[in-house]
Amino acid sequence: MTKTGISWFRFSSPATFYPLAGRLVPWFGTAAAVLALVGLYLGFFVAPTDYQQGESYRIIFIHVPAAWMAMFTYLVMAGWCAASLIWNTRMSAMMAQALAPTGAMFAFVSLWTGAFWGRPTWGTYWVWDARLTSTLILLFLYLGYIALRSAIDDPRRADRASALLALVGVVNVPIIYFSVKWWNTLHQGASVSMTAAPKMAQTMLVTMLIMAFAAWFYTIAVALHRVRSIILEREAHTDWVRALVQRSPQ
Amino acid sequence: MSEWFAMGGHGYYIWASYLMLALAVAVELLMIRRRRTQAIEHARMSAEEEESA
Repeated sequence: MTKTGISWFRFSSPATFYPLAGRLVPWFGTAAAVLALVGLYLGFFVAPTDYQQGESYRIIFIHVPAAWMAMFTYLVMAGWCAASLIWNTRMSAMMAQALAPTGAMFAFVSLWTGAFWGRPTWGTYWVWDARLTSTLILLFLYLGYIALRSAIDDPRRADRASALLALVGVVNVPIIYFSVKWWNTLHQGASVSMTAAPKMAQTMLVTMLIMAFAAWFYTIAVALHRVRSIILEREAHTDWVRALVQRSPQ
Repeated sequence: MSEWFAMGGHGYYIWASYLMLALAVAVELLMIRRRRTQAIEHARMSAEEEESA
């Protein structure tokens, strides 16, 4: 570490991270709520009707952010899992554990909203197309990760086993992302690309990005809140947690 | 107003999507709250057990 500046490894200790996470939760939570309200207002009252799809396209404002968040959260979760396997740090494993339910929630929401967008657009709620199927697998990976964790009593063994599962499953994320290019799918191609001009109106794009940021901040707030509970669960035997709960913490 | 809710005939699909998101978020927020209450309760009980032992 450098001699000056913040020592980031200090925060890998649960006792140091717990109060920091507690201070961050309200900020991220408020940011998520404000962005979501702005996004909903733009999405329903400002964004124009789509000339091809009519009003049903408004589902995009939650469908795409949820799908992005489900994929991105998996990558972050797998990153924490890798860190916990390499450095054997407790905090990394706890962060992965805290992200999984929110990732599963967004994977489910992206499938659900996709079904209700597919019905008026394609005429069907579901097809076994590459993108839909690989997203369903993503949901199962999250659920498998959670189930495997809860099936193993010893937390350190649960960390290692579930980290391996998460890392093997990471191969699914590029499959989801590139599925619309690699295979002939019913699902439309990417609406937003780093290399090409966006295929959508400016207002729609801005609204979708605002909702995507709302999803980010929501995920950070919820994961930090959940990791505090996980710290209390797993460090219940330590002196600092005992002192904390006897002072009735907030 | 009811015309707005109809969303040009797509109201059912739009509201089914948005309501499910709202429900999923509400359930998750309830779950993290309950988990925190239980974690504090559990830690407090284990601390008391230790003291009386």
